[in-house]
Amino acid sequence: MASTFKTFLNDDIATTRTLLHEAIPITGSIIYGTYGAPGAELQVKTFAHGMFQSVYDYPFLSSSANHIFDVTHAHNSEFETQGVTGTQSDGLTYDGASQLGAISTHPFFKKRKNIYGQMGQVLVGHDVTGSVQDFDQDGDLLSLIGSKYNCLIFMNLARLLGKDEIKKGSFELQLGTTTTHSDTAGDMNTNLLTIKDDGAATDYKVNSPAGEYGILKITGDSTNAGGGPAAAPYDVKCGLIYYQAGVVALTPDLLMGFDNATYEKGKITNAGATGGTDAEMNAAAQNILALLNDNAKTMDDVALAFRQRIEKVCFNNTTELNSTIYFCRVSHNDFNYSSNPTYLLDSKVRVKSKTSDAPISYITSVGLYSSDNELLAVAKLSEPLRKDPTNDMTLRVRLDY
Amino acid sequence: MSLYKFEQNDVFKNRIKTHPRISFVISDKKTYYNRDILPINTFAIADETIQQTEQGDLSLYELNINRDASTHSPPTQESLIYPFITKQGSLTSFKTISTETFQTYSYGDVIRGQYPLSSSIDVEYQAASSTDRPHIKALKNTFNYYRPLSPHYAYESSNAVGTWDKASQEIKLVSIPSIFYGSSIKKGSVDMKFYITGSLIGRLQDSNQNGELIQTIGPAAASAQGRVDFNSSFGYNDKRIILENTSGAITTFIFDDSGTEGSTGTVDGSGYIVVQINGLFAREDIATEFAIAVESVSGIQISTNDDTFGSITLTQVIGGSSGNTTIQDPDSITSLNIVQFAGGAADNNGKVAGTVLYNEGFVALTGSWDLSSTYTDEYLFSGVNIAPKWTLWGQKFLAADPGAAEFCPSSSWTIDCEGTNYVPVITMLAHAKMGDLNHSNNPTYVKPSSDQDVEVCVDIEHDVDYYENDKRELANVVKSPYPNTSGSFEKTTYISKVGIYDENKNLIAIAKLATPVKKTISREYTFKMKVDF
Repeated sequence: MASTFKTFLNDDIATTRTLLHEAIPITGSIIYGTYGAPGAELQVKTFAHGMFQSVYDYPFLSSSANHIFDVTHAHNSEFETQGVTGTQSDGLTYDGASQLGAISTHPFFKKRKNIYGQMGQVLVGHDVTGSVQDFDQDGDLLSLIGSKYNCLIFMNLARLLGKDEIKKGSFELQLGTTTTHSDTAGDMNTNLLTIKDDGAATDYKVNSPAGEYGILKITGDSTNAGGGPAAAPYDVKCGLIYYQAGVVALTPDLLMGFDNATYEKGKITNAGATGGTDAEMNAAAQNILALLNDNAKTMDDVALAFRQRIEKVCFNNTTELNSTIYFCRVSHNDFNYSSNPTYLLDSKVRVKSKTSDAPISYITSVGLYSSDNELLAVAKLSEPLRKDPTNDMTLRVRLDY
Repeated sequence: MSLYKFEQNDVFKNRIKTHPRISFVISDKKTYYNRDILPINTFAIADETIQQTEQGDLSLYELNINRDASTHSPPTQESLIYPFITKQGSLTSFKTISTETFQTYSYGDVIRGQYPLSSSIDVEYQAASSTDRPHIKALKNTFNYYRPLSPHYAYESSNAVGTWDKASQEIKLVSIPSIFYGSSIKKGSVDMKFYITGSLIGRLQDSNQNGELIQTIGPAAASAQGRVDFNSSFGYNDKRIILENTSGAITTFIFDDSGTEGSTGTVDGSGYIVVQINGLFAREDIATEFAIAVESVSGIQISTNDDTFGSITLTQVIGGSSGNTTIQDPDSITSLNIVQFAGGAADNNGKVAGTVLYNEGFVALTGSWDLSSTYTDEYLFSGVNIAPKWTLWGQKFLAADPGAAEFCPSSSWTIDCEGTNYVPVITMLAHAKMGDLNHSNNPTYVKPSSDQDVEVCVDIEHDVDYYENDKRELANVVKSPYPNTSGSFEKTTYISKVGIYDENKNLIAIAKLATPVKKTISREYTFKMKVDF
């Protein structure tokens, strides 16, 4: 119990915020191929409603398993008529909307629409009429230039890994876009497209009710000897990433034939030739649109087809550490005496043999008290500090919470 | 939405005292926690589990499950999740980074940590000759602090309790991290066992709840033995042998060669136990008959062993020297040779073999007596087999660790105890009083198709005001027992959840009811909500 108190002044208390990060590498072998046959993988939890899959890093029945992400896909009402990315600013319609046919008869049509609406409500928000807005390719919701994503594949990263937010500019996804389908793990992790939120550390959007988000771009193509789609800053947009919400939205365009000279959306080819071949999403050689349109195929089938092509996902998460720093200033004439019983010997100060001797004490700990003198915290020194009238010191006490 | 303030007696702050059970099994250099065996990592390095730890370890965040650590080399090659921080003015760093190392980083440098952060029980053996024992010496003040509980806590002692110095005596320090037990180890719950080939040979318990680990099971003590040699086959008729125990109780055996006193074990008219030797001509037969007579008598606690050469060995059933018996030959049988009882020794049950530091999570074992008179093993990996003892409990980590080889595979050890963990609990009582909470802002609270369910716009000197019509009718949800009619109107709501707000009216918690509760003007409820921290 202290017998002497000093009051903190305004300059004695400072607050800081430190960002702690974790590097999260997730290899494709965790997501697919290690823990069982396709569709019966022990680390993937499916549900009776069939609306999404949960991916774990180990068979989920084990208490050691950690939830990594959920994967699902969704589309809006315009998907049936406009295709994946809708009408472009150049007036062209890509993505083979005609392939979709009467997708409204698909048993999962309403569920997909509901998911799109729900995700849009949370991540994009409403317009002035109260309608849920569509996901925008460049994040400029008001501009008529640029297009919307009518269909998206969502990866909802677990809070366990995403923590407070995903570090901007750290996200990287490598997706195999090879044409031929195979159930063998690794076979499809070739012709890799590298997708990053390039430049998002300084250039990100804030017009989402869920916080900040960045634009995902294709930044590399392993089949392109020239090193991929031009150079930074890359301009081939392929999805969105919501940092605080921990949601990654990717366009199915990535798996459609495209021109790797221009990387135009909806014309993607992984063979290097203009107007190349679509990636086969299953053993029946269906492309992504055919898979979405096949009434016999479930949302789990789409999720599986997507997971099979993930080579790697890595990002850094962020945890905010808030601290208060108390500068405890000990001036030359402070704390030179002690109230410890051992400070006295025969009722005399032990360290003073005559009146003119300077007092000495050793500071071992600092107590922080409330305004009504309640002891709230004690900071201990690693070794006692000698204190006498000839020295002063400032003890820096940091309180993390 | 109505807000009510909690009154003085509406909020209670308590704490629940819980006792998590802890169990460790140590065998062949491996530890198992709570009987759990984790799978081995597919990319295993020396039996690492999927948590990248050894068996029995706790992984703090349980990340990096079943990953290949051999390819991990950040920042260029990453296969494991790891934390990192940038050195900045707040001087925040990881606990695993020493101050000296921290100073070597420049501001802006990335400081990397690693996962998993594991925790495990540790055992540290110190031979009597060892003086380099910083962990023991660091606990000197702590040991002495608990001397009022038991003199066995004393770091040094030279009194009637015993003479020792923990700075130099043979000792085993068992360290249990607090993540396993919480605030402290529960007194009276510590139970340590020593097994050889699966058989329990020793047990320690803190049955007095004062930190003393008392041996409650140990090897049987050596029993006293005596011997009677029958060197001849004749000269025994009507002669006596007397066994007298230390309490003075006498049992007299009398030999009968006439065949008139009954069979062996019969009590004759004098109260003697008959040893019938009629017709016996070999000394070993006479000895066997005497042995039968001795075993026929209950209560004298002697077992016999006939060595077939006319010698009978008498062994006390109970170990130690208690009940020790003298053998008397009052009739001076000519050929009889008597070796009196000797050799009994007390057992070690009841002795203190160590102490427990409940709050600090340490067990110090000092019992250095042998726990087996027959079994030995190379516990110290020194090339010499020694008998098991308490200071060798949990022997696992040695300077000369045998690596992949088996280590004392016949020995296994367990420690069971309970921790003490406190869970702060806030209990809140939210009252829905009569006349309160009888209105809802839900859209369905008003009649959906009412003609007056419209908003009214009034233009007053170019100002436009919007307000709801105050004549809107409320929906009548009162159920009538009669068909095709509704009951008399009564304001009715259904309470489905209770929100908890802080002093700034921030919603900080929501308690949901399993089913909505009907609330009318005349009804009142109290909702009891508990929050565990």
